[in-house]
Formats: sequence, structure tokens, C-alpha cells
Amino acid sequence: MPSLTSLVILSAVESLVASSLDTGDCGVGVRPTVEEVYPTATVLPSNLLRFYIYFDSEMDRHSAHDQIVVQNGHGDRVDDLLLDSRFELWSENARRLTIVLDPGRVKTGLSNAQWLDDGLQDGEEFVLVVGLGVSATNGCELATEFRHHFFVTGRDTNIPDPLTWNLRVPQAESWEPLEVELTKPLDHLSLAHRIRVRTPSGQLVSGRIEIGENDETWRFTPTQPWAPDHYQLVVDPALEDLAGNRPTGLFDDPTGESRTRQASAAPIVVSFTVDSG
Amino acid sequence: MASFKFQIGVIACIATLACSACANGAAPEKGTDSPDDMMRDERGHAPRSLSVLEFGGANVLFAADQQQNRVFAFELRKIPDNTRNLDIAPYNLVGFGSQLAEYLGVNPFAISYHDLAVHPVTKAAFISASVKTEEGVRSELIRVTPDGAITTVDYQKLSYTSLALSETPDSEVTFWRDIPAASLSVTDFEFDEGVLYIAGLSNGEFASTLRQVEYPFQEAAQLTSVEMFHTAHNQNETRAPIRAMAIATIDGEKTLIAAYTCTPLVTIPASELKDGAHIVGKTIAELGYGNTPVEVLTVTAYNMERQPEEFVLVINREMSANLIKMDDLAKAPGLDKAFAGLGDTLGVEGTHVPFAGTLQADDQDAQQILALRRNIDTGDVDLISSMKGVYFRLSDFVSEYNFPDYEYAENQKGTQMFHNMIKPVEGYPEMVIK
Repeated sequence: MPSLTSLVILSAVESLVASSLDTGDCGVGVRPTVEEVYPTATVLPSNLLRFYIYFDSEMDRHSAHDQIVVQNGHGDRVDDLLLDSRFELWSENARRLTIVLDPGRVKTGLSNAQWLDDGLQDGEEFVLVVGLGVSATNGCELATEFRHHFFVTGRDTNIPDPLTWNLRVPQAESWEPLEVELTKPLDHLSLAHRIRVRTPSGQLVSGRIEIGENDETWRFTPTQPWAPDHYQLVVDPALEDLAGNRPTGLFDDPTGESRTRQASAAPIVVSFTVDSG
Repeated sequence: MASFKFQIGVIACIATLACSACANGAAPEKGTDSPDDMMRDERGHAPRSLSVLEFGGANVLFAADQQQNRVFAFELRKIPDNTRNLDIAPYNLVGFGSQLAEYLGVNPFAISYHDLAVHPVTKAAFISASVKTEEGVRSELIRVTPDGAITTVDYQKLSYTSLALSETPDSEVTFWRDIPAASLSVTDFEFDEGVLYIAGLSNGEFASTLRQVEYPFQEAAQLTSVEMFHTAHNQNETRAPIRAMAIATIDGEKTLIAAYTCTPLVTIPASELKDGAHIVGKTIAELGYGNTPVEVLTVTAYNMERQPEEFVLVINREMSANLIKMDDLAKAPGLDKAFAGLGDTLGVEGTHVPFAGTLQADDQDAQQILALRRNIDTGDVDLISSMKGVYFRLSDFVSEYNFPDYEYAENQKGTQMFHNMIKPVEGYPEMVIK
């Protein structure tokens, strides 16, 4: 005779099977889920340029249209906030969806105040909602609506400047990470692809990149221990913050004065020395 | 409805078309683009999903593959670029969407239309579309002729070369999670004098909203990328993506005319498009917010003096299309004051012409523009030609002229003449009132 515990387990299994049957082939474990949303910070600038939504499955590239909205604190959809792209912006493996906030909404000097009243307002709370209709290539939709809450502060009109970053330099012969405090959250794709460590001779140092809480810290752990040497943190000038601002200038520049450096392909180099300790 | 005077002004040009259509009917043209034997891309890539299309002369069709972030260049059967096709026929395929759905064996709502390109010589319409079936989504390249003959092009079996649009991540570094590289979703192509211009929207950043590459693609083809800004007022610069573009010669200089996603119209001399350049385009118009440009076309049409005149036609999704004289565009100063407010426009606006419901459009021939249009009465998709200089279809309207007992007054003979010319062109020869 089964014990009480096994009855409970059996019952749970039965309900799982039942729910699986109820929904065709899209039972628990088959339906796609949202793994992560970037930016991970929950306090975001009002001129935010994009969200990235990561799924755990290969997704249907035609299913997200109209399923993703931003709601204000009253639960009302914020209209015309997200760019209505002709094609959904999926990564090649169809697991990352990029949601661009309409540059026409982000830029200054275009709209009147009345229009901006309905955008991302300073001090307000909003929710990014991923609707149930987003589906995987296996045809299964999300099991539950995904909701990502965030607060909005003022416009970010500061140029990300690698020369102001704080570096915590490890000791030689160690595998300790090089830790870079970025002074503000940066775009996670930029953190993955736009910052590299090189030797003085320009050779790429292999290793692993991690980012800290709120995408404000960049950590690099080398594959080989650090040598006592002069290294370079090499930053591609196309690096962006959450508002699309770059070391070469702001995304939206009301005066044109932010272009302190002419946009050239030349990388920005921050030198650091690993001491033998 | 467009002004009567304007209509009369273009009768001369319509007459040619009307007669051509009458004489030949809607003659189907030969299947000159049928695929040759399959020849694989030497780099081992096969096309999977086609979206934006552009002909590179008579023998090459460029297609963006959004799924693989590549551009494919399909080689079509050789037709000399200077071949003249005399069978200029209008497309009057009202209800085309249902016919295509029947041909493909799917529900009309299962078809997503991506782009339309007219073959420069045969004038066959090539349409890229995604078709949703129980087995998944498949990408189709569809060829249509004015008589309504539909065929699907087996593009996998065409000869082709391709080019990657994404960055290759370096293998020396690993990440805290799976981070696919950023890639470019193509929003528009232009091909001019051996160069393919690629406007796009990146899924990672706006790093390169415009790229250019020479065709034929070389073994190590380099995409040059240009950082594009536009100005709204004073020195205001925004690094936004181009949604649609055209290339024209303005004052003897090859110029890119770009419609941005927040609807400014911007001109950039092509000579400034150099690798790595930071370019500030000249904003010559703000065509209104809350609108998406669908297509920018350069159009030659006859003016009231029966002289050919160059225009830029900006077809919009939300607003009516803007028809701007190239001369006005050339003379236009850059905008130098702030945008006044919601719904306002600034700069060279041109005249408004009706292209409501246009999903995609392309230059068809010397006298017509071809459009895939959502029919607001039936909900179906039509594939229809509109005449340059007129920019509307008479058969879209029901007016007093349509009543059986209507008689044209003596002072309306011009209107009658115009109607009698346009009715056969739109497929209603029996409605001509002598």
C-alpha cells in the first residue's frame, strides 16, 4: 500500500501528465521560458534604447510582434514606445530578442511635451510584459506571462568614458580577475564584445568575461596566470551605455558638442601594470 | 481625388500605356527567370529566409536572409541589361493575396509579405514572403506576372554567392552566458554602379546603420560601415537607423536620400560614404512623427507642360505618401529650427498622394509604380500598378461617374477622355463611355 508521501507524489505526477495532455505536446518543460532580461538593472534612464530578452529555447521569429509591451504603473500600455520593426530582431540562434525603443521617442527636439508625457517618465514604475503568444519553434507558447518591473530616472546624457573607470588590478602569477568598475551600467553586448585585454605587443589575452550586478562591473579572468607586465584594456569606441551613448558621443546630441573625440575606428586604450607583488 | 488639371497634364503619357495595354492585353511574358542548374555557394551557405529584395541589373537578385544575417546574390538567367520589354502591362491583381494563398495551399493570414522587387527587364514581380504552416514557417520567393500567373522560384537551386552581415566573435574569450554576436537586420537595399548599399537595424547596436559592398562579392569582401546621424534642428544629432532609401543624382552629385525611422528625410552625398566615416546628413524635411516610411522611390513623371520631371516619392505606412520634386529637394536648405509639435511637418513636404495601405512598392516601369496593398474593403492583399503622374487608381473610387445614367457634360470632355484612357489600364475596358 502506498504511503501518504507517495500518494502525494503520484498525484503530482498525475496532474503534470494531465496538464501535459490538456495542452497537447506543450507540457511542463516543453514550453519556452524567459531566462533573463537585459539591462539587469531595475533603475533605468528615461532615454533607454533597448531591452534584450533571452529565452531558453529556439523561438519562432514571427511570434513576438504585438506580444511585447511596456505598461505604466496603472497597468496601461504605453503606446508608440517600442520601435515597430519590420522584422523581429532575433539573434542568429533565435534565443535572444532585441526590443528597440523608438529613437523618435528617445531623441530630443522632435516632439512636444504633451507627447513625451506618455513615455518613460522620471520617477515612475513600468513593467515590460512578454505575452503568452510568444512561441518556440516547437509551436509551444510561454506557460505564463513574463513581467519585468523597472523604475525610471532622468535622461542619461553622460558619455561613457573608459579613462574614468576604476581598475582593480590582480597580482602577477595569479588567476584573480581584473575587475573594472564602469561608473554606470553599460550595454551587456558591449561588455561582451567591445572590451578586451591585450599584451603590450597587442596580443589578445584569452580568458572569461563576467559582468557584475546591474551591468556596472566588468571582470576578466585569464586562462593563463597574469604575468608581471604592462597590459592594455582596449575599448572599441562603439561601446554603448543603456541609452546608446558612446565614448565618441551621445546617441542623441542636442548641441553636437558631445563629440569630444572624432568618431574614428581607433580604440581607446587604458594601460595597467600587473606587479609581481 | 487628384486635381483634374493634373490629370489632364499626364494624359499624353498615359495614352501610350493605355494603347500598349489594349494592343497586347495583359500579355504574360516568358519565364525568363527560371532557375538554371543548382550551383552551391562555395562557402557552403544555403539561403533559408528571404526578406528585403533588390535587383542588381537584369541578372542578379539580392536578398537579405534575416535568419542567417547574410546577403545572398542570386544569379538569374542571363538577359542583357539593355533588353527592352515591349509588353508593358499593368498589374490589376485585386485579391492577389487569396489567389496566392490558394496557390500555396494555405490560409491568406498565414502569409507575411516582406518585399517586392520588379525585374528591370521582364517587369515580373518578385515577392518574398514567410508562409506559416503546421510544419513551421517557410520562406518563399514568388514570381508573378501581370496576367496573374504565380510561380514559386526554387531559389535554393539558383546559383548564388553570399556575404555575412554579422561580426565573428573571437574564440579567445568566453562569456558569463551564451551571448550571440550582434547582427544586422536589413531594412533596405539600393544597388548602384556595382555597389550594394545596405541599410539595417542591428540587434545589438546602431553601430552601422549603413554599409556598402561591391558586387560581385570578393573572396574577402569588406563591408565598409558608416556611422549615420541626422539633425532635427540646429546641431541636434541622432544616430538612428535608416528605414528606406533611394539613390539619385542631385546637382550632378550622386546622393543618398534616406528616410529615417522617426521620419526625417535626409540627403547625404555618396562621396562622403567612406569606411568608418561619421556623417551628419542634411535633414531637408520632417515628414511627421508617428509614421514609418515604407519605401523611397525616385520617379520620373510628366508635368503639366508634358515635360519629364524628377520626383522623390516617399511611401508611408501611416501617413499619405509625399511626392517631392527633385528640384525642390536639391534646393532645400537644411532644417534650422526646432520641430514645432506633434503632427507638424517641416521643410520640403511636397504634395500628398494616396498610397494608403501599401505594404511594399517598387518602381515598375517608365509609367507605373507597383504596390502590394492591403485592401481596406476586403482585407485582402492586392498587387496593383499606379500610374506615375496620377498616383491613384480610378477604380478605387465610386463617384457619380459610375452611375449608368451619368452623362459627361460638354465641359467635362477632358475628364471623360481621361477616364476612358485609364479604365482599360485598370482592367475595365467595358466601362469606357464613348
